[in-house]
Amino acid sequence: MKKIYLTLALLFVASFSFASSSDLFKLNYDQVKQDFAQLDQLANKVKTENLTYNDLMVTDADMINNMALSSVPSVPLPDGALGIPSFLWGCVLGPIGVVLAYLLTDNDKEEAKKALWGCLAATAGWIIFELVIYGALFGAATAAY
Amino acid sequence: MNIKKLLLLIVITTCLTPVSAQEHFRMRADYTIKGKSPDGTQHLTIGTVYYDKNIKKVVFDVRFPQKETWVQQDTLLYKIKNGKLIRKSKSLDISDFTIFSMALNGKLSDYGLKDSQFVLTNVEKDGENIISTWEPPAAYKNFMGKVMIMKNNDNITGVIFFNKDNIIISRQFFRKYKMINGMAFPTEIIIEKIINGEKFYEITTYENIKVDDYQNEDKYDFKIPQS
Repeated sequence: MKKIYLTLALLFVASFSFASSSDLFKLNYDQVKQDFAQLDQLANKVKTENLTYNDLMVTDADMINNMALSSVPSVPLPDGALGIPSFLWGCVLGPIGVVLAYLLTDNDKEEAKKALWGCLAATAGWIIFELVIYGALFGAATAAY
Repeated sequence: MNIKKLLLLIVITTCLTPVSAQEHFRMRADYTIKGKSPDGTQHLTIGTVYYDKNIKKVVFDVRFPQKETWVQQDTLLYKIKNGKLIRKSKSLDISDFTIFSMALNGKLSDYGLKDSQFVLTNVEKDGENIISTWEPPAAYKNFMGKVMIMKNNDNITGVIFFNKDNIIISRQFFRKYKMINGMAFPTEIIIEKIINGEKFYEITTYENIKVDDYQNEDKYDFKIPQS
């Protein structure tokens, strides 16, 4: 009987842990869509009438000003995140590194920059160490012949 | 194994390979980006994106706010307006890491994490959803945290990024998948960024997606004009 209770208790705890992970992915989609209703409406108008920002400033200047609509396109590609060459982000961490580069641009730049350079230096050191070891092994193998 | 059986095996495996590992090489899509910034401004960008994984140029043909073309190649971003190069600046070399590249190479379902140094530490199942947790390498844990991804029917539906203190800094949601030439692609992506405790959203939608488009060659390999 104790075993049954123990199993049930474990299942109960496990069900809570599953629920908590799923909850992290919950999004109030309707609320987000509602917040973007005005932008949606504008996007439809722009697409239908093939308008530019300058066209809108002539016909709907008040709306543009009230919306605080930027005249600059959203930047899909920010300049070198944290000032670190992009290939390092990509080479060391792959695609996820590039995404993190974007995210870190908005968060605690200096801290992240220092830490990352430290990590990269450590990685470089490890690569050099491995090259030395391989070099030594190759040299020993060649000498044996 | 005799030679006939060996030949038969080779023929069967050769025939099956393209079915199981179909790869696409290029795609185009009309996109709309809507966003709200911490400074109170709102953004609307409308255009068409072209990407060919062999040419490795990401070409954004922007129609709104202004008509201009942005080309990302290697570590440079070119801005072209009225046929003239008006700006050339350094950029992240993202060509291999865009959603288009990941989708074309069949790596979108794990968000490219399998090819990174992140380590899979946990997998949970919740109904039809599979949630996996990926930890960064030990050397990076002093400035970045784990990444969690949620998949449904092998399509990625969500990604959560944590900081080193295990606090969520961003969530991405991949919605409204469509099958185009056998390739699943999300037509709505919602990015939630949390800055100083406040949430900011950006919604990107894709329409008129074409995979392995044999037209628009001049767009995929856009020639950068001289300034």
